[in-house]
Amino acid sequence: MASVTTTVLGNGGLVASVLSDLVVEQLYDPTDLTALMSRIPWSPSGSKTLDVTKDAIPGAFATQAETGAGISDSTYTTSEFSLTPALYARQYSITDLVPVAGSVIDVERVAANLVAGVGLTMTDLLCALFGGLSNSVGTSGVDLSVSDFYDAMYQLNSSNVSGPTFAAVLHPTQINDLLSSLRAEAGAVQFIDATAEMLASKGPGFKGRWLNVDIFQSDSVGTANGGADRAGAMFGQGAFAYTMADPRVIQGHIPSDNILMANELMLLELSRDAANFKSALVAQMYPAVVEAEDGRGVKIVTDA
Amino acid sequence: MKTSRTLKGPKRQAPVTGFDPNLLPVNGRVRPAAPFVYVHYSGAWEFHSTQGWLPQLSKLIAMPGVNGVDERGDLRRAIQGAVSKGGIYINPKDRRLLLDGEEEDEALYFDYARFYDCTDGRKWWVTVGQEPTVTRSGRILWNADDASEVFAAFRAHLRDAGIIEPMHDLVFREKMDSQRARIDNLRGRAGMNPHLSGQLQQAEQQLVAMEAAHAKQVEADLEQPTIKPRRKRSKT
Repeated sequence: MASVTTTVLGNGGLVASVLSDLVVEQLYDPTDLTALMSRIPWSPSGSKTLDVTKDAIPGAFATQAETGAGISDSTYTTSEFSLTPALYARQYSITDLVPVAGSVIDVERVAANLVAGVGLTMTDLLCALFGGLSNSVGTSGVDLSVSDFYDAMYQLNSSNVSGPTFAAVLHPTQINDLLSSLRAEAGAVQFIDATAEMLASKGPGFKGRWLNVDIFQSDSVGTANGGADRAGAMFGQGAFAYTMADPRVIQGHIPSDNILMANELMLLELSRDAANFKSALVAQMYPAVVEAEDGRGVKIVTDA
Repeated sequence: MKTSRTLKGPKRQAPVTGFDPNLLPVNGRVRPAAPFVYVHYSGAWEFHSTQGWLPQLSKLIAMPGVNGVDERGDLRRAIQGAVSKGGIYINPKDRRLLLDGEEEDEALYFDYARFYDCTDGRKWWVTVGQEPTVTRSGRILWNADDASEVFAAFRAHLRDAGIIEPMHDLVFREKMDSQRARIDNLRGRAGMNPHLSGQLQQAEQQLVAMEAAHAKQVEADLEQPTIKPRRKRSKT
């Protein structure tokens, strides 16, 4: 018996697909490592560079004869590091057809997306500093192991870097290798996985704690040795510093209705291009990061 | 009035690829590497199975806002900072990077930072020997194993051409002590962790190779002509 199938698809009864109201996130690394750096307040005073003085190291008193030629001066040796903020910006344009067609991507969503980019930028900048550290542990071409992790801790301890906790930022491959190495270890020292509370306080990217070291993962960790390795780092407080030049001073140049957001981190404005039927969301920020004290950090160079 | 008509001569267009195959595909997840220069610190040496003792290089990245780099990517301040810490800046234009008979344009190590163009107009900076392969799905695969060997040879050249000072004997002793400590540590743990016995054996073999490589290097350094210090003139 022959069957007859009737389709209403082409006749207006059904449409090929409709757009769901739900918008889901694509896979990406949301790690924001800003909190691992010391914040230096930005004070604009006619220069693009902010120098920060590091005080002289206190010295133990020297023995002195009660009578004699008197005491000579000790050298009060200070040093400094410099922060040079640079413009970082991102822009998205939405054509007028997007809201007209009822797209779920609207100005608010794009603005939220731009705000998320601030932390990602800071993570990229921090990870760019690791390769410049002078101290190094790990072996090129060899997977990160528990021994390398201990070596990094020993190095920091030898340099008098005070705790109580250190931070380690590693590439996902290095984290996998560390966990693999830990799996094979016998003993009572335990890796503490990130809990929901820990993630809430330390932010995305936090993987857990081991031997009082907070371990973070980031795909911004760069390569070393011809791409064969990754250069992560372990460091104590004060190894790296950052500043954010406050962009709010630009507000006076922008019609107030166009400013969608202005805070000490970023300025987000709407730029209307009527002739081209589109609106652009332009975000700008002025960050600077620096290796504040080399001895407070050690890079961990292991197989990628 | 509508009439029937036949359209002739359809236009032709070659199949369009997603991007130029000579460009590296980048997106939010895959980001290009920034330009850089290398610096060497006197204590940074590591042992390589075929090249012997090699200098470990630190990388100063030319990203605006990082270590004093300005919006033009000027690295001078970052280099000054590294040099003040005792680092030796490896100038990419140092003519000692040229191998015998090489021209600058085709040199292997001269201008060691090179780049590939990306789909979004940015540049992906790589070091000597790095070559990407882009799969049909747009994934970038790097020749890491081959590139690391080329990079090891590059570091050996830095050492042999005198761009980097030879490893100080005390640094060598420090490295040997560290390797011995590693062996002792492995020996202590190998009882409870049988999988470490292989690592222990490797570490012991490496210790012997490290000693031999250093002796060979010292011998080679002695053979090279050295500049003798001038004698003080005797006052008459």
